[in-house]
Amino acid sequence: MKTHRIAVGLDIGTTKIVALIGRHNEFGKIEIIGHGTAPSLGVQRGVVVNITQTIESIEKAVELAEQSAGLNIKSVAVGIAGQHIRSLQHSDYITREDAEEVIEDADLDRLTENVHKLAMMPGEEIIHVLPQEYKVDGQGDIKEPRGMYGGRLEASFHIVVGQLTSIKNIARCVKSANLDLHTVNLEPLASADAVLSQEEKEAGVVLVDIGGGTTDVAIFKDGIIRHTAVIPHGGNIITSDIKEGCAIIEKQAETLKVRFGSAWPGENKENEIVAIPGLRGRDPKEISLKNLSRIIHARSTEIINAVFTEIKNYGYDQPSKKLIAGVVITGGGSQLKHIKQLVEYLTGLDTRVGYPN
Amino acid sequence: MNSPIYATAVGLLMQGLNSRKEVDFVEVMEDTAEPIVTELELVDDSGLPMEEVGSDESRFDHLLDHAEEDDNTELATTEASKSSKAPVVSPNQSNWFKRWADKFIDMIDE
Repeated sequence: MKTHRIAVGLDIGTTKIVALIGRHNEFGKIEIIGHGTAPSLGVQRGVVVNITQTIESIEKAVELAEQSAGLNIKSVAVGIAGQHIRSLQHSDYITREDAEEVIEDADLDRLTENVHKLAMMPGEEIIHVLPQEYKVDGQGDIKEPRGMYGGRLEASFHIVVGQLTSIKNIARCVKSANLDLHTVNLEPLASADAVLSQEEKEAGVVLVDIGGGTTDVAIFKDGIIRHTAVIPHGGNIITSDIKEGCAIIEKQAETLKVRFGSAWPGENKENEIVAIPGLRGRDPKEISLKNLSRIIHARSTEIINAVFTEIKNYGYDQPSKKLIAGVVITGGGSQLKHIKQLVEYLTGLDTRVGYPN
Repeated sequence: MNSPIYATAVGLLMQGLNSRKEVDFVEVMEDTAEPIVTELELVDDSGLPMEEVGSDESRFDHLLDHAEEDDNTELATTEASKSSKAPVVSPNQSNWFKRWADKFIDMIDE
């Protein structure tokens, strides 16, 4: 009987830490065999700011996942995000000794290793080297060079770079929780794997993952990653705005956002009021849902405009870079009422909410 | 797990599954769970802790002592001096019900 490989994903987010244990079933679908979630206390805007609290949260999430699966977790694939992440384009080449031999994995690995040797800014480290298109002896637009003959192998790469200290902090938290770090992956790329179809990636699509601390962007065209960005604002800043704007505590602000919040104020009437219990015997506070939606709308518009700036930086208005599949929003922020409509209104692109499939 | 809030975690899991790096992510949990032993404190009717009793036999003897005290009220003085001593139970007296029944019959005969 064939045994299916088991893997573990660990999402160290700003609001929660999730550990998932899963495998491919006989139909090739992902089967979740264990999961654990713990509140994240030591992470701000995708970056570890308190090592001890992060370790505790990781241990809690991992323990719950282990209990539900009946397995001990040894190694994890971890995500990384944060404002420190930047991406760049780069082209490189290798000259093969024997052009009469076909191109193999070893040649592609050598080319990728060349890119890894690239000098970065002080304190930065390369996280991903993602090949886009290859050229063999000057012939371009090759997606799969394996098996071809050629002496000079060139490629254009999308390189994702992050602050070394941030990567080290994540690695330390994972090690301290008695786990091995399998890989560090850029979070928008991971989300894209979970919610985008290959057809969408071919047609051209923007993935927008609205998390608690950050909003991650990944743009695909012709099945290839073209652009990545991390915007340092997410759902938490909307909660913070509600807290300040309505003069209530954070817990109440979060509840208001989730239960009554909307990104489109036009949907609420002026006379729609919600009463918030007063603190320590004080009178209840009355909050207009229209005002609540105005606060949410203002910050959501700012976040989506930042996403739209990234889409414009990619050059989506050029005919060859058209994003036919539009925008896919995911993450906790995608559950905000009317956020889909707001994204469509501001970007002019067809939008859907992406669910892990 | 179909919620958008788990998109990143599911994606990371998929990247782990599709990785070329051959690593064992998990190991089978050893059944190290020991039986949970909860120490119960026995209390009498007044709520005071009772002395620990070892076997079924000694537990019955404890009941037997009480039965003897209740049934032989006229011999209270003599029995009180007996009950202050530790109860000695011979093997042939292990069936407390038989002994109690015998004494009951003796009392009726008297």
